[in-house]
Amino acid sequence: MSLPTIKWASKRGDERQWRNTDAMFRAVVGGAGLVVAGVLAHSLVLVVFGVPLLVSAALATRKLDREPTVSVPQSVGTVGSGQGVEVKFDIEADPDAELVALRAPRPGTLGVGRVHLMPAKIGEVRTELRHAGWGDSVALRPDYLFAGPDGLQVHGPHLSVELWRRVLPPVSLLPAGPLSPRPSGLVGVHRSPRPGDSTELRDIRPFHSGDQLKRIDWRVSLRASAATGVLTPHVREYHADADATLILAIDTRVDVGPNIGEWSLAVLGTAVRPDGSLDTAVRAATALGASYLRQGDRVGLVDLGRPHLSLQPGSGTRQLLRLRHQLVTCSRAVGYASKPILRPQQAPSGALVIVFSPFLDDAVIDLTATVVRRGTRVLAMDLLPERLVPAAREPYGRAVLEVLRAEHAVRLETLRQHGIPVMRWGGQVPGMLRSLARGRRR
Amino acid sequence: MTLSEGVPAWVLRGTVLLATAVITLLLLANGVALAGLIGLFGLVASLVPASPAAGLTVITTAVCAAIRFDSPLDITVLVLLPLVHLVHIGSALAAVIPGTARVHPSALRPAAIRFAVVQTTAFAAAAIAAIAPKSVLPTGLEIAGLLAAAGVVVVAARLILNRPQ
Repeated sequence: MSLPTIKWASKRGDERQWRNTDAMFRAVVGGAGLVVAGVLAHSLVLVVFGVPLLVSAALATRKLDREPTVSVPQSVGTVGSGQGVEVKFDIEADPDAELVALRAPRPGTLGVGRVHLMPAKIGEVRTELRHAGWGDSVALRPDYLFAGPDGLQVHGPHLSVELWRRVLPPVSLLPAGPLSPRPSGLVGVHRSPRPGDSTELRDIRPFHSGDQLKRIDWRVSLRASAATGVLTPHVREYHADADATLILAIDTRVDVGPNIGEWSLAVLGTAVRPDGSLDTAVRAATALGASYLRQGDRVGLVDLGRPHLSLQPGSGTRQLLRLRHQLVTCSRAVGYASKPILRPQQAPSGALVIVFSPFLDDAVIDLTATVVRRGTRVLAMDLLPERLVPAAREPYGRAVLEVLRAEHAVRLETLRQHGIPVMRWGGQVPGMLRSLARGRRR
Repeated sequence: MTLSEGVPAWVLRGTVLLATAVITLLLLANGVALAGLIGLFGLVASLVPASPAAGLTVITTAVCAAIRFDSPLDITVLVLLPLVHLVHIGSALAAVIPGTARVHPSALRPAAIRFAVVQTTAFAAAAIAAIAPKSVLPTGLEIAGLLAAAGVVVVAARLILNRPQ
């Protein structure tokens, strides 16, 4: 074989350069074959069929040498739930390149989108990335291919790297109720049992050395001296302000939705089942965390399935951002550990621990009871969907549902017997938190 | 430009299938026994446009038409010409995108213009061919035809070999 033929054969299938397609081969070889056969066989019909193929190939053949490019965004970054992100693709191609096939989502659609065949001279393409829920997901995979006229020459396909985006869980603020104040830290909005400098009156008592003179209540002091005949100054004593610590303990080992038949099936395209127990847990944790951080409390996060992903208690808006990021990280994969873990140092003394779980196994009940026995105040947030649907194709689907409901009821009753209030996520949560705090005061 | 919806890519494949169906019906109506095979090739070409099925459809149709019809100005041949070319162009364009893609009609405008130009050329070639003598050709014309055929082969080889495939 000659050198050009060897060179041609060695570069077959190289998508980094312009190359002929099978259609070009069909047009040239088929057209030439029909014309030659027609001439040799004296068949004008064959010639007439071959001419369009040859003319088509001749018209569509271009000297395409420049490497075409599609500039894509390097990262999509982190966005809040419900926010859209506009992205722009810059298309640079040889003027003779006629078509570009680019994978991109249309504005308002989800996922990486479909391949769009467009004119290569289009210059730039804009679209807006949307997302339905929250979490880590693939935002873009801008694969592209350039084609010459009639698709007889192509450059590509170029497979691009997936661009991931992180959508933070939405923040819906609740009217945050009072929490158990911590013994340490004389800041915050909660009334401490200890005396301090707030404006809430705690007691009126006789003056001791060390008391501030401005605290003397002269009216009470004069009345007391009139009754006893001895001038004994009395001072007003106020409560101290205190902050509180809220620990959000999320059971990431299970993620269940209303349909029992789908519990063991993965959801395509997302790590978290939409409206499932983990989705609700993250939304509830974000709402509670944001509400208590707004009033100056300290909020921490514990992943019961993966303790190393936990977040130390902290306060402020940066802690809320950290909390939302960490919730997404914790929800990347479900079912990592079989046994839930909450170490004593993860729940400081005086903290309120809220356990978010569908309570489908005894291990999480044992853990919650253990935390209570350590002297920590615990609330249980039951996230098992209220209306469960039995597995339709299972002959024992309804029986399984009945057994599951019975076991679940027993587990919740066990929690209540340990003095752990059980509540469901919904509009009554702030009211229940307030009533629990009032009960504590009494 | 903001990315719009476009039309589904199966429109291209559907065009190939429709053109093949009309070819098959025309050949069946003219008593061509291989018309069913051409229909099968066309079906495969519409499902797998990058396969050799489109080429087989084109060549088989041309051979069948050459056997069945004597004149290039036969009305069936003149109808078959754009249909065969449509199978070729439709398969070529459908082969560069997946079946789930979207096609923006503005991308197909140059291809449509070229299609019209090529068909005009083909009809002109058919008209010229019709006036050529059908009996024994003069020696000079025969030699010119053979030389032209050899030239076509050389040009075709250059077209194929100037780029990798």
